[in-house]
Amino acid sequence: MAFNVLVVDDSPTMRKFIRKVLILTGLEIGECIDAGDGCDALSLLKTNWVDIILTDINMPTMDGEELMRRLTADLLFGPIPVIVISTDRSQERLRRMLELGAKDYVTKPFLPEALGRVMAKLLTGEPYAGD
Amino acid sequence: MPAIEVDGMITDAAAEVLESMCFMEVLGDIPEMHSPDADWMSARLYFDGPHSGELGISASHSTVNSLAAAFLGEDIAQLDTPQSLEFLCELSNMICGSLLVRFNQNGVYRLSHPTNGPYYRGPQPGWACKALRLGNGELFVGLCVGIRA
Repeated sequence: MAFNVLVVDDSPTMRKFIRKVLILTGLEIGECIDAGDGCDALSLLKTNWVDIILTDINMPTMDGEELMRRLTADLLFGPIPVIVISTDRSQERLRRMLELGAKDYVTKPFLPEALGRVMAKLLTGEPYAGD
Repeated sequence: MPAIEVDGMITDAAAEVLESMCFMEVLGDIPEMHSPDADWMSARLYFDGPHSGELGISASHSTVNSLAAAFLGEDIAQLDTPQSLEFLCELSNMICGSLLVRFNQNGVYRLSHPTNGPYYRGPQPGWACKALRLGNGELFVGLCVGIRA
């Protein structure tokens, strides 16, 4: 089964990098769509089936925290697992994002295996084959 | 925070990001920073939280291009200048994040959106500045940091 991924990051370079990393994880990735902020992400979710969301926190218009609040409050989008990918490594931010409903948190810089591990856990429930 | 401690943190933060994201080893410090050529590009951002300040990075166009190519897994010839500038912004963001956690592991910081410019202004009084020798060139990292009373 191929998994559709939504990447939310205001940096086109980082979105491109994450797309590359998704291939390197070895997971079966279906469609990969991306959004520049939380507003774009919510719009795209209305017309695209997504299995997992990877989001940054610090973004213009609607940041990652507000996106998490909106997703969690939505009956349709609430069950989609969200992984936060951020340069912010503080325990306080991590706690806040998990409280808002994020399933995991990956800090930049990161290796493809780190993302593959958390995605495999959330999407397949099986150990990551890339380890 | 002692200047020598900040100096070490800058090197460690830059090395962590460059080695894991760009597969580029930091070979050491450059004690005397030479005057940059006109083709250097830079990115800077501001941070605010338990510490506040500004971080800027600069490198030659060719160094940025090869780092960006490694980061994106693309051929240098495929990269255009806007992509390299955007990459430099992302690099400054990641180095800043890596540095701030070394200042305060539990602090929550707000980071501004990085912006590009010409060569970042060099060493100034009160600034911690490091010029790092990379496998493919040089990277200058300048940091001005204040601690909240």
